[in-house]
Amino acid sequence: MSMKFRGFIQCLCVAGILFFSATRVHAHRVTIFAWVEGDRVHTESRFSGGKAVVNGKIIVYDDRSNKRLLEGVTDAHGNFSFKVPRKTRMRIELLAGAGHRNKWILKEDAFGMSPPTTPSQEVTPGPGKPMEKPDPNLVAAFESTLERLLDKKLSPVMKQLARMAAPKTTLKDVLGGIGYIFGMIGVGMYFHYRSKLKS
Amino acid sequence: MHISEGILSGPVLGAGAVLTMAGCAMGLRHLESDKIARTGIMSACFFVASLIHVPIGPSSVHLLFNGAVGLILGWAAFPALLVALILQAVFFQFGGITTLGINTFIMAFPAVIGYILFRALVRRRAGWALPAAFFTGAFSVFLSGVLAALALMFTEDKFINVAGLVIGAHVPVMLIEGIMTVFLVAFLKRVQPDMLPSEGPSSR
Repeated sequence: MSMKFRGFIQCLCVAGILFFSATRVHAHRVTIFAWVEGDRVHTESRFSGGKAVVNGKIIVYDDRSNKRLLEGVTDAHGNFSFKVPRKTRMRIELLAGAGHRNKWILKEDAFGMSPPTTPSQEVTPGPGKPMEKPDPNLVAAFESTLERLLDKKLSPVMKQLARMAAPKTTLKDVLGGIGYIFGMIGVGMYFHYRSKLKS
Repeated sequence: MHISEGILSGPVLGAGAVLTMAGCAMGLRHLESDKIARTGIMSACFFVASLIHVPIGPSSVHLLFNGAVGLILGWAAFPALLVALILQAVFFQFGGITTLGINTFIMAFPAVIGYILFRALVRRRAGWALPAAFFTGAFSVFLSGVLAALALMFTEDKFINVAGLVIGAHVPVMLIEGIMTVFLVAFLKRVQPDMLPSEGPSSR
């Protein structure tokens, strides 16, 4: 085995050790998730290694008008929540310091803004006894209770969904990147040996 | 140490891009064709090393490996790290496309400085070479922190505050990379000494 080939194999071994130790750990990136619970928006900010972003700056913008709505700071667990200032599409930005920044877009439908009722959805009273109009106060109270209960029940699911929507580093990404680099080595070697053969 | 999109001002991004282009030109000029495989493998090592998270200290940091890359590649560290950072931005969303120039400069310039300062000592006997290897690994991370703080001082906070935050968070990384570089140099001295930098001015 030539010295050069042995060196190549040794370098490959070092790269291999690094690679297999890396696939077991997390990448370094800052992430923010947000979900709505009742009239409040909850956010969770973490480094991808799992550590909470403590004292990270959160700025909330109206994504339509780009107007700053409010700002705050994450607590010791990386959480920050606020009362919905306006039911609109929001851009929640996280500044975690030292050049780390990310954002989360909260669309209008996250606030449960119901679509306008169309005539086909209205119940038409049948012949016979006319339908009694329900008490509007009772309907409002019922809707509000139902909304609160659903928020409570769905909150963990919303949180989980928000977490799942964040990009993750996969083995495919790692292998893909290494493949690109090795491909470039191949192209370089091709031109190197082609010029060598010509000369 | 990857600066995200939307943090830095235009002039800082522009300066980073220009400096990186100059560094890459130097690197490609010095890159001998029989060192292409070595450059690619070191680039792959850097690409993967950033995934190794160090769970020590108040913040979240990862290995850089730029000192070792610089020691083995010299000026060719610039193109090697640029390629790795492009792929990290695309595959892992580390840093960003607009910050590629400044991020490459922050990682590659300390690698080259470490190479220039310590290459002569690394070729000597172990009593000199191993401490020099440690300082190459640790110093490259330290200088990367200083450069990151310099880039961020125009948009984030005072230099001293950012530098304290970045360098403080990277102290464990400095120690780990110093030790890793010692092992790497000791290994190469035994099995492949011609991979270590020569006394001459050109990159290996």
